[in-house]
Amino acid sequence: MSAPTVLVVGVGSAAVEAAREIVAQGGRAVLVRSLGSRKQCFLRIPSGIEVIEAELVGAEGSPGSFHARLRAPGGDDMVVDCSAVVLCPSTGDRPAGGAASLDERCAAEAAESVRSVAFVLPAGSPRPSFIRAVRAASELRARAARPSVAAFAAEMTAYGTDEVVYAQAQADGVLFVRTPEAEVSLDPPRVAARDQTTGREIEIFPDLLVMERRSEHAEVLTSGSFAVARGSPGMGAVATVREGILSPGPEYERLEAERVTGARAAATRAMTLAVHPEDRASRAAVVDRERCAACLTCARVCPFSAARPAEEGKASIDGALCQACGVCVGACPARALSLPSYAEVAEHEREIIMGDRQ
Amino acid sequence: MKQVLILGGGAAGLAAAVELSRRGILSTVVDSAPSAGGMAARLACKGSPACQHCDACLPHDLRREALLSPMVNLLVSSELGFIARGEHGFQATVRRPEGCEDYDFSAVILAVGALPFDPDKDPRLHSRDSPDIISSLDIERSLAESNSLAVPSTGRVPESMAIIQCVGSRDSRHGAPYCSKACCKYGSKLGRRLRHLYPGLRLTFFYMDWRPVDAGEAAPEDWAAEDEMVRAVRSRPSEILAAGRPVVRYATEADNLVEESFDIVMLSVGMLPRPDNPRLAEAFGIGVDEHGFLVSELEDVIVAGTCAGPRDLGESIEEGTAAAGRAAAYLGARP
Ligand SMILES: Cc1cc2nc3c(=O)[nH]c(=O)nc-3n(C[C@H](O)[C@H](O)[C@H](O)COP(=O)(O)OP(=O)(O)OC[C@H]3O[C@@H](n4cnc5c(N)ncnc54)[C@H](O)[C@@H]3O)c2cc1C
Ligand code: SF4
Ligand code: SF4
Ligand code: SF4
Ligand code: SF4
Repeated sequence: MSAPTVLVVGVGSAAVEAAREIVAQGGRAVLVRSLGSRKQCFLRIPSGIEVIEAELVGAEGSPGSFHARLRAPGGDDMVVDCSAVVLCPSTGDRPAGGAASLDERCAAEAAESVRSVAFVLPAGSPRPSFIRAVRAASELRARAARPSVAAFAAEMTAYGTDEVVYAQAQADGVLFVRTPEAEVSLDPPRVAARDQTTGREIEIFPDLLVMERRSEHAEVLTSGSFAVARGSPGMGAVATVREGILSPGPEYERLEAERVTGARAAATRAMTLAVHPEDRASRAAVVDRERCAACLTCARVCPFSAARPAEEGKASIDGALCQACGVCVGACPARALSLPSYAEVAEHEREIIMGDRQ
Repeated sequence: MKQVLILGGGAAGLAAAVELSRRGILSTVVDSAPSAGGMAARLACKGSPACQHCDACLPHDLRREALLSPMVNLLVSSELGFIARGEHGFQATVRRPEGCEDYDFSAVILAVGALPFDPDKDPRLHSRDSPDIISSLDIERSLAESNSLAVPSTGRVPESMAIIQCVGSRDSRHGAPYCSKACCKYGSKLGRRLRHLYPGLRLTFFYMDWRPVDAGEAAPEDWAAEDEMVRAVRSRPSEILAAGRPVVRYATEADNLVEESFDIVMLSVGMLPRPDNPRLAEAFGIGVDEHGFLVSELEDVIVAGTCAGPRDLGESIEEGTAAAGRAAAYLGARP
């Protein structure tokens, strides 16, 4: 059997990690990226990964056999057959402003002469930005000239062991000011805010100002013009509502370590689906059209929008969306709905669980 | 047949077992507890009433799939006895209630989890002196078992409650220096669940920083703005006192020391590495980090979940899934 093809969409490090992992697991990874306004990408692509400069515009099919439509920069469309798709929205796909996120390399690039530096992170900044600012601030503070460094942030989001890095930066003399919105003017550079923790008014005239932009949280994951809704918890790790399209979530919402884990998990799920396509449809609720009274109670109660009106107003269940949760089965006044395998599974499960509990 | 040892059948271990089974790879899950599921088996659904994406139901789904799969050998009430690296992987003895069994494993996934912080370890919390100063885990358990919460000392419906965040976390003297990462998520969602169950309950949420795992999660101030029974106080209480009713002593923004009493004080406890991690690390030839969490650079010993650091359920499950992929790649590369 030839290696299954998995399409990885995105320009960031998560996409490269997912593609690398697919190759490591014996798959063929095709990295689809659309650099857009960016002239080049600085990420090194490991060998064994094919790269197509294009935008994903559509994906028809199901796990094991997707037909992905790609649009090259010249406007030509092509179709690539693949088993699964891993979608890694990057900073460029960020709602409300596609500027690059705060980069910790800014410290290395700052002139040796800087005496005073300010970082400004408004509420809604990308999740990884705060700790990047902390690292850059500590690096600047460690210089022989000991510049004064202040960070204005709505929340000090040092998750997990990042807290230790943040505590060290405080000990090193970085000033942290909590404010939902610092007042910033550029000529001359000035940052002012009232610290919510101490109530103190703070005003700084930095000679280097590093600013982050806010981004909105969207329930839909987008990459260029392709969009798919995030999966609900019941659909499992890194799921989207389309089976076979996996996503570790947008880069600007995930910390570095989470991004690597998410990319590897998405690659793993994609490879599993490529080798053994699961069939959500075979577990879906079924409608007995003889009994169905076309009341559409099921369409109202289904948490996954899987039940919809079809011919004669009677219900039909979208097998790709149904999670076999059984809500509609209990709600249907005509007892027209059932879950095919439920009785069988329930019996088997009871036996095993009783055994497990012994 | 080649198989993978998974030590620990919590969220991460079960996710790994299920993913391997979907690939057709056999695994043996060894868990010392009498049933699988780990910490998550003690957690409540936080739907209020709509799903709040707390992820507490995911391990139940995983456990069910693992139980039904012929490719998962789930051994509860079991422990790893002898373990040694052989020519092709590991030789191990598993101690089961009915006796010892020998196994050969090609790769190992360690997913032994973390321990919840025990509030009795911090004398300023006085959790020993009042039955109404309780850990979030007690509240999770009460909701999971009976879908209700009573004031422990009186058995009545609670009318006021304080939620204290960062208990045992971000505090190197009493607990751990790091942030436990999951407690902003579960603390606020538990609060919303309780508000849904008890419309007359006044909630005060004491927190230092808002660190949600989902970028879209509404901040405590927004929660307080939309629900008049909720108050968000940005302060870390200096002490909880066990008077007749529990009393929270905290500093306000203007630096005034205030004392307020509540029916129940809930302590949102963090996670600590298991004390036997160093022993486990030695047995498998891997290491522990500065805090005591497991770290592995070996290809055939993979760590996943909260034994590797503070994480929520979503991340633990992703890590378990990713670990299965790595183990599958390792097995595939070695005929
Ligand atoms: C009070 C509280 C509430 C929480 N609520 C939420 C929430 O709502 N949402 C959320 O996302 N996260 C929540 N969390 C975090 C969540 O519980 C963890 O992220 C998750 O359970 C970690 O899963 P795990 O598989 O890594 O570890 P665990 O679930 O701890 O599983 C480890 C397993 O390993 C077994 N084990 C340990 N040592 C050995 C050994 N030597 N041999 C054999 N077996 C062993 C244990 O018996 C256990 O079954 C909460 C945490 C706490 C403390
Ligand atoms: S609830 Fe039952 S009767 Fe009503 S539309 Fe759905 S299947 Fe038909
Ligand atoms: S079983 Fe659940 S997901 Fe499927 S159609 Fe019914 S309500 Fe919707
Ligand atoms: S346990 Fe949590 S994720 Fe699951 S249904 Fe309840 S609220 Fe939603
Ligand atoms: S997740 Fe929130 S409550 Fe938990 S330690 Fe971090 S900041 Fe404190």
